[in-house]
Amino acid sequence: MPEPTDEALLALAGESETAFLLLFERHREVIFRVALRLTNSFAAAEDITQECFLGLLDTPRRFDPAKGPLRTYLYGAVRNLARKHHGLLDGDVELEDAEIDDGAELPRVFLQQEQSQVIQQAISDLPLPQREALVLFQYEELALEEIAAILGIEVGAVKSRLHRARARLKRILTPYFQGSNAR
Amino acid sequence: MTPSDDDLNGLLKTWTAPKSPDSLERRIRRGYRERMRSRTKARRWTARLLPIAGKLAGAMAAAVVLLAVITQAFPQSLNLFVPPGSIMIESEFLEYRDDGSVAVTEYRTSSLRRPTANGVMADGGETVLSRSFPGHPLRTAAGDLIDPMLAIFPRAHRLIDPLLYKGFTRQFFMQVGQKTADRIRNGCTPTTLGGRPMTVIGHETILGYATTVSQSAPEVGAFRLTLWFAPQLDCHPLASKLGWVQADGAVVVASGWRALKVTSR
Repeated sequence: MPEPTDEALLALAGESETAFLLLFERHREVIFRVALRLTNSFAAAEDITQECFLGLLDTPRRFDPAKGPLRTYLYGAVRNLARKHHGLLDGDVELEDAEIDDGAELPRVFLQQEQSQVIQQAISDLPLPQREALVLFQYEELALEEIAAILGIEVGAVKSRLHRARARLKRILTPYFQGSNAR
Repeated sequence: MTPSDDDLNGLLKTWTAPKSPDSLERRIRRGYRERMRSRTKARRWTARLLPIAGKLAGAMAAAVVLLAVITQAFPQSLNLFVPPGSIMIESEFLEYRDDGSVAVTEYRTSSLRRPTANGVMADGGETVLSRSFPGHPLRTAAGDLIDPMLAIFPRAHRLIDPLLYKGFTRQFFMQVGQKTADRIRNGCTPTTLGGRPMTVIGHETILGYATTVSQSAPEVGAFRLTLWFAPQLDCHPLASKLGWVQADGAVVVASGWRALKVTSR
């Protein structure tokens, strides 16, 4: 028997807890992972994941299958909730380049930390728009077009954000590379 | 040395996100059940309230019809709801046709609250007590149903006809009241009306009341309005005529209104 589609499960979710939980199981890890990477907070990631799925019950019609799969819609929902978590309202734009401190360096204490913690901190320090683009591209391996649709920007702007994010990460992480090469 | 793209990619891959906690599923289940419970409650309330709302609507419709029947049988009964001191006017609306004939399009009985500078016109001034539209029985019947209700519950105007009252704020009526008071003081001689200059062109007596006749400037392509203001009736007009100014300066009268009977309560 073929597995029910996301659309079919969503249609049943308002009446059937089983259908809703199936939908949740299908996407929970991805949504939690993105929420965690965007907020760098375990508690916030849990809240966002919960709100993301329960939100489907409140406004199921917001998801339009013609515009893309449910997963893409959920990415957009996570992103919006993460922005709220960071105190941004819909339509607010977080400054990107203006707030970059060109002299930013990895604190020396980082050199003693676990590698993944260093990366986590460096990514958390990225401006939110750059972090969103990087997380969706680097970790979720989405196509540029899909990221552009989720973020509501042009593909060129996605590329630009990715480029700036990577340049900043390279700059910040340079001492770490040097340190790790020396070890 | 700046790291290469491959170096960076390798480093970024070291950050692996942990799996979502098991507690998340419990939270989701609990959240789901809570939402479903509140939704069920809402549905239950709707199911309970709908029949009541239906009965209420039926009772209101019956009350409106009963009111219409009573006020048709006893037209004077509506006078009970006219504030003391109001002016009662029976009037007719006229249409001047191209063939030179004049047709009455509406007969109306209204009460007018006396406007003063402190803004007693805040409720709109005129309350229509009854109307009839010759040749339009359905429109007349609709008026028979609606007018008594509006006369008794003047504020219902705002519910039934929000477009009419949109923007008609208390402040607006205060200004109207003040302008009217100024007009009474200067003998009913408005210098402008709707932004158009007005000129006094004479004095006439209508139904025993002296009136000042004011007319807007005849601008080609625009309307020309003539109004007969009665100083004794707080400058309320007792007649009006609306005409369109042609290219040659001639005025084609299109419509008018005149009082047939005036009483005070």
